[in-house]
Amino acid sequence: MEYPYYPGCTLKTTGKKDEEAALEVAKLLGFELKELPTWTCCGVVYNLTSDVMADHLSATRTLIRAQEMGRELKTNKLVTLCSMCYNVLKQVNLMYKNNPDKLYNINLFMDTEEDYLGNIEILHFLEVLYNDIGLEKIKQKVKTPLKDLKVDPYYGCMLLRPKTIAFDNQDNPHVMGDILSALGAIVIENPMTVECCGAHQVITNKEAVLDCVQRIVNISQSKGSDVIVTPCPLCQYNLTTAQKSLFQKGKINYQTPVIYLSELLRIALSDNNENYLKEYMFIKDKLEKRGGL
Amino acid sequence: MVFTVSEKGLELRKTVEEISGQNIFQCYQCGKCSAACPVVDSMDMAPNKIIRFVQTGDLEVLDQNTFWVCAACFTCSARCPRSVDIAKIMEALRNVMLRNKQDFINIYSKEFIEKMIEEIPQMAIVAAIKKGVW
Amino acid sequence: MAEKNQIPLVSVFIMGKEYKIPSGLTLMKAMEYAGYRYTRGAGCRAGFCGACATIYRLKNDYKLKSALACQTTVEDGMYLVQLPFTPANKKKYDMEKLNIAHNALLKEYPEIARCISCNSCTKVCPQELKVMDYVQASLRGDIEKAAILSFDCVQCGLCAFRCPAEITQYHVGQLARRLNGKFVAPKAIHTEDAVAKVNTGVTKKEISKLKSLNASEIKDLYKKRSIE
Repeated sequence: MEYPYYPGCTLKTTGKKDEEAALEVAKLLGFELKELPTWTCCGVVYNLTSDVMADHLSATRTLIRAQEMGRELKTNKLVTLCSMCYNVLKQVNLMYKNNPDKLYNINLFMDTEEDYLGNIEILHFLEVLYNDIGLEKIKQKVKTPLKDLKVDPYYGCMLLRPKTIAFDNQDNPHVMGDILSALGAIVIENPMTVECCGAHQVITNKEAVLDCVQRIVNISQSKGSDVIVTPCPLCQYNLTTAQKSLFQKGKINYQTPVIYLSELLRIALSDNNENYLKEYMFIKDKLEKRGGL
Repeated sequence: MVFTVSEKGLELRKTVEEISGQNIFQCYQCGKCSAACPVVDSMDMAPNKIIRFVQTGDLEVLDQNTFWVCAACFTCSARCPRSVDIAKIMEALRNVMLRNKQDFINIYSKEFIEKMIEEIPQMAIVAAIKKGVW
Repeated sequence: MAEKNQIPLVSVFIMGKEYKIPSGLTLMKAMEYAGYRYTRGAGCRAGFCGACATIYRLKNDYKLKSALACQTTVEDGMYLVQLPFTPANKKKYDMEKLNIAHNALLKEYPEIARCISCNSCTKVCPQELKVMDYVQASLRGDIEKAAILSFDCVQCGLCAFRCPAEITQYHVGQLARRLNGKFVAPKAIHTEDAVAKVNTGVTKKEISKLKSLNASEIKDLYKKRSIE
């Protein structure tokens, strides 16, 4: 199975690890993510006004690219790894479904492109794993169970809000937890799992991000998590760097590592995970404690 | 009690309703949005109060930092029992300012350039610029 | 005069005023034919320097088209104006202090984050470059791609005029090419070798011999040169 795949800008730079791991996980699970040959930034934040169309152009152009590739691969799906790309693309897509006149206008404006027909379905990598591959198959493919590893799945905002684009229960999501359980990990219930990490406020109001992260990490740590798992490169950045600042200020006692879900999957699924474990000694220690890797 | 709403106040309310597509009078001031907001501590004025100010056409609402601090996480919109999309109202208020040529950030200022340290993901920069510059 | 009349004339509106221009002239020649004199904006007259960016519309067409005045011939019903200058934001930077981190270009030109992918820049480019694609490559930190895609830019500035996000694309592309040349592209070892060779003085004798020749001798020498 081949899926058209839209990486987004951050996965090519600071989120590179996520992309590398996800592409490999896909291979291990028997599907392939085929990157769109050309793509533009998705816009990162969905323009919430009712009258500005210009900000939807970027996402629409990507949807057209997906439409072109979809014809070739005989699918109408487009997979994203980044939560914000998922959110923006899906919201724009939904906006066109609800407002065909807006789709007509934007097609008129983009006169050098083919018309977007509004049929693309935006999927997050998690949805592919959960719905298309299935927990059973993931379970079968596990080479190194993550037994004894206490993981705290952190969703953030963009996968579950607004409700119209959520692929999981908005207040009590389970998809990521289920996948992690399938890998053998112990999943911690953190009520802050859908809480915001402060997002782009890291640029203009860093204090707010520190507050948000402190609340999330405090509960995670009090529940004894070994690692916080996230699918979003901005959450990963905010949680990691804010913890560093909080630790320096003495507001938290230790820093919990924050890693991408795809990285944990790769560790659990690949035949030879020595290299990947090197980066995460704490996981190796944990796994070795229960006797042998 | 009788409110008198200034001409400009009425205009602001109308503009916010137009840009956001929300009926501002749906709000009955339960305060759930403010209780749920993850960044309310950094705000001059809590989100529910902002909406009250827009309802009453109080122009002071535009001097608050609330809508700039908003991270557009949609928690308020998810919690609202009256289905008011508060995130859209915040976006409308940002747009009232931006369309009046009052940018929140100057991307050529020293402070802003200094924030662009090597590790920062582009998505954060793009998002901040999309929300704070016309 | 008799010869001239055989060439069909076309109607061209230069800044709103109609002129009858012999068909086949370039826009630049047409301007001069109509009596305009270039003191600036004539440039190389050969399509290389980008000094003569021009915008025009054709009769009954909504599209705003663009061209280099020295490279495009007049058409009947053309409305045109040449843009004498692009007020553009050009950053001063010290190449020695720059790096190729993923936000190196963003740091110098943060406005590229405002790109909404409207594609206006690509549509207007007289060099037919994929301008939007190289701005997007710059945004995602792909300096090499930005440098390659912007390589044929003549810096005419039309993209910067059309951009709703107020980006000066051609300066971004130029910085990308500079960074690419300094940090990414393989070093031109043969040039370094040649410079080192010159520094040893082996060419001195040959050059002083050339200097002593008169003009006709040099011409002779040029004609007799070996051609690959």
